[in-house]
Amino acid sequence: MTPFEILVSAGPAFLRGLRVSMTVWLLACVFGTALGIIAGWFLYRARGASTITRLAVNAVPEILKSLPVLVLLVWFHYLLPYYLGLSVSPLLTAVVVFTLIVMVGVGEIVQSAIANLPRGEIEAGHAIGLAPIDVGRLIALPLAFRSASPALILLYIDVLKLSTLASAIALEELLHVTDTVIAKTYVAVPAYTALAIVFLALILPLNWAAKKYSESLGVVR
Amino acid sequence: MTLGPLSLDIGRGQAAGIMGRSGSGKSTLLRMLALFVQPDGGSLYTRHRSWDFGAPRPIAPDALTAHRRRVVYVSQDNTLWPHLTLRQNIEFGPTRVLQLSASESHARADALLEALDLKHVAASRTWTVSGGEARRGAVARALALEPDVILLDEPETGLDPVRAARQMDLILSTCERAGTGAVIVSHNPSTILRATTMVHVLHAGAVVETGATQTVLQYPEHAETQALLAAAATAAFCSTPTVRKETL
Repeated sequence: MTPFEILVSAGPAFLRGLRVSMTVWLLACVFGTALGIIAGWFLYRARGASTITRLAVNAVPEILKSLPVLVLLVWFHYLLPYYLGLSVSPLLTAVVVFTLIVMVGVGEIVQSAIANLPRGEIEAGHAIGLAPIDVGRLIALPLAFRSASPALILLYIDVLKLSTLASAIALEELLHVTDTVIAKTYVAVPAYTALAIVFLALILPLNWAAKKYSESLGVVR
Repeated sequence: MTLGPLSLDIGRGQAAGIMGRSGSGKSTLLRMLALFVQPDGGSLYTRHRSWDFGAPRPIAPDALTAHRRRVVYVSQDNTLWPHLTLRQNIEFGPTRVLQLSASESHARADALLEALDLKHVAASRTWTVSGGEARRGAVARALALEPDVILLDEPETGLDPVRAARQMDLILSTCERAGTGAVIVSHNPSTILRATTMVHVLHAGAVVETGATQTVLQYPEHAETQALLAAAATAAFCSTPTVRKETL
């Protein structure tokens, strides 16, 4: 069987898997970004704090960054429910873990964006008599968003690719669907190639849109 | 750095120059006038308010913003906001600071774009315009507030002499028409000669010479002024600087 034959014959299954993958991805991006902005602000404020405060604030993101995503998925799906006596669905586990991944990434990007805000442009806001809170709202925030956008988009694209790891906890996302097709058809390479085609169809337009958006901001010229 | 004592008097539509070598305190003085740096002593009088800096107490934020709407500082970095077009940069002050309507802000921006020869780049993103256009754009953004005084920090930096001269002519004619005073900082005597009627020469934070621009640049009395003029080779722009016999 060719990859395209696999896509056609297992189309409904791939569509179901795509829906699950996109659900995890979108929820993780939305919640992770919201939490990451708050985390980034605290990480930035902690820069000037005492050593103990800095260590405490940076401990969680540093630990999360250091652990393989697969390990996090297994811990959250099997270990925590065991000790807490809860039943957790693969979907919830995947959303929680990838939300944490996005949160850590966004936190670092936001922290860096705030720290690298162009002082001259912020001062120009003060220089024309804008109130400090309006300088933050109307100048600093848009500038921070502008400098953070390209890195954020790359982070979201990476998380989409990482979402395939959730197949390890039996979440019926795209990789899991592919493995099911292989189990039925015994054709591994064409099946994985079909999966690659789906990801190319998803990510190439995202990459192109990201590049165009960065160019419109003047961040990539 | 210790700066002063210094006495500066800017009338409506007039331009005063501050000249000196790098590190003499020129930019610090401008930042002090805009109250980015609070002086330790002395007074500041504007049309709307007077300030006495004898007692060390912080300036209220409202008073600070009100002052900066009347005395606007334009840094030498241009610092146009890249997330806005040039026109949006200019309209920002009237709309967000003065709370004017969109049509009034638009009209002000139109007039300034025309006066400063920026109409052709009004809709451009700020990183696509030339250095001179960015500089005039930053000045236009300041003038859009119709301030009492505009503080220009080395406005000719990065421009060749021909463009710098034309630029200063455009900026100053716009200021004169609007009745806006200007304080221009430069280490280039040509800019000072072209643009100002009074000049103060700074050296290590102190004013070493002050007077009518033409007089100071033609008959420099202090060694620092003489050194600046000699280094800038201003003979091409005005008659050879003459050192009075009594200073020898």
